Amino acid sequence: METVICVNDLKKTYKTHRRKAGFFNAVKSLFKREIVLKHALQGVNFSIKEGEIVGFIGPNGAGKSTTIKALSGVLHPTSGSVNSLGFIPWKDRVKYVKNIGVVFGQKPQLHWDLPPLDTYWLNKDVYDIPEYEFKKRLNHMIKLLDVEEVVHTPTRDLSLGERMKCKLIAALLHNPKLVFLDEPSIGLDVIAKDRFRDFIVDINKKFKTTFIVTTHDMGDIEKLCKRIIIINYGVIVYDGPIEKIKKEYLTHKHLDVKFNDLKKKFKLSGCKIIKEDEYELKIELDTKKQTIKNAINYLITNFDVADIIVQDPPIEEIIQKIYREKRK
Amino acid sequence: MISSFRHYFAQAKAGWKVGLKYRFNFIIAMLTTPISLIIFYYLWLSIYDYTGQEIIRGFTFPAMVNYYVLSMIVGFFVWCDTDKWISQDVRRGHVITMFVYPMKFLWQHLAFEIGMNSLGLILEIIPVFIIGFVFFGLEVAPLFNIIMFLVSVILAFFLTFLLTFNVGLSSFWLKKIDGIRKVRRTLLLFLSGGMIPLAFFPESVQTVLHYLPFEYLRYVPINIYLAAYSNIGVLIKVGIQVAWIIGLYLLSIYIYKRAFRQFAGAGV
Repeated sequence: METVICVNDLKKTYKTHRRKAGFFNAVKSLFKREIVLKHALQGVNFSIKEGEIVGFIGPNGAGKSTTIKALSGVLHPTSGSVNSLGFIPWKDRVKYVKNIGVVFGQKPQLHWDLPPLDTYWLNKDVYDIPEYEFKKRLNHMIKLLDVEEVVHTPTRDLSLGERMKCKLIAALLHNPKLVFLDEPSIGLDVIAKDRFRDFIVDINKKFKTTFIVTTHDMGDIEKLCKRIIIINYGVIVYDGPIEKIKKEYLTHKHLDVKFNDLKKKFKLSGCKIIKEDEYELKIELDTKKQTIKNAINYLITNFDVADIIVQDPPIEEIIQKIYREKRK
Repeated sequence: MISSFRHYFAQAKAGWKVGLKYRFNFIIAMLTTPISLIIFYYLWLSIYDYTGQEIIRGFTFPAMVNYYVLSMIVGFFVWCDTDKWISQDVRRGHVITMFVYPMKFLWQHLAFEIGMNSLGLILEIIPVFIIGFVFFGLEVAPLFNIIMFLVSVILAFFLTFLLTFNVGLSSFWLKKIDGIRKVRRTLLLFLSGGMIPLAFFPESVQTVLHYLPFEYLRYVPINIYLAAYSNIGVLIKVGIQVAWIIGLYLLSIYIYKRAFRQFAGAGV
């Protein structure tokens, strides 16, 4: 398969100004500012093949968005090289971005005062989409995402989730080879999230579109991506199949249990109590030593259980674990 | 070339549609413009009455009224909010969405402004011309002057756009430019002769203004209509307008490149 993106020893150092709090320091900073160098990326290497859906994750300030910016052509790196679809993204920006699609979960990308449909027709001309294909693709996407009514309503009157779906359509209409999704599932309800993810997988299969997804939602990662790249402090700490991460690091599950009655003493091998009060219990379960089935059985037979939630530990915890092991 | 024209024409259409959404705003503007015209009318009427003079600084009273009617008309053409759009985008962190869109930054903004303005023109200019002819005795200029007036006014729009665009770009460094924008608006209005004709300025100031682009935004087009220059003089004035546009365009391209590099964090 063809390589779509190749990133080589990418580095980025920002110059920022540090200012202490307080009025006096604010005045002082007008005259003399302390310059601080921030190393956002410290040599990032990876390559992505056509048709992959890659999850790009990391805690806040890890260098995720800096990498995405460099890949989408709006950031000059300090050193290193990027080859994306045969382009150097930050050179010849206009030509390059015609070949990609970008969805920013947190930023408006449709004309605020116009219905999404108007933006689509504008994009048809801007991206030179043939009318026949445009109509076919648009109708197909509108049906899949269930936004028949929505696309006729001015964007400002839409809900966050509706806007997100419409933005996704806008980013995919020109059938780009490469799509960046930055926090795409913000504002979507559970049903919409499922539809949204199915839709992306469908597009991926049909057109071999490559997706790079940055997200904090583990659900997105599990449903969409076969491969994940974890970045922290500007370095890649993990790059590989998600299954491996699951096996090696997702060895624990979190059980949130709520009780109807005052609870008795909980004791089960392979389980560690993280937090407890009279009606609630948070358990960390080691899946090597204990099965979830057993634990739930034990809970139900011995307690008056109101609710059990089983979930993976948050992504930040996994990153910490990987990071700790790397340093050893 | 043709295909890129289509891209920007589509963008202009979007600007036109956004403009349509603010129809109410335009109708209000349409109603208030003649009101300020009436205010200027009576202000100058009392000035001419009080001084008892026929001609003040080369203007008879009817010529002065003509000047203000034309000033209103030019004012619609040269209306431009690009600095507002750019600084809003920069401050809210939305400008990145413009950069992942396959259009040239300057031309995207220009096309949008043209779309927005073209609506205002149709809604406002015709009524103001009619009001001018019927109520304020606006004289019909010779055909050559009318044509050159229209040419000059369209060039004035490009000049205003480029000046405003550069002010907008400053937000890449300064972030908040509300103050600068206010200064920009007042300066453009005052130095282009929008408040009082430039003939009322001291001789030395007028000389300085000849070497600046501002008088070409309003004063020059108006005087072209009022046949204040010879036919060759008109062509020279329009030529200087074009030269300013080329100069400011090159400057805009240069500053835009710097702004983009600043945004992209180049050379750090």
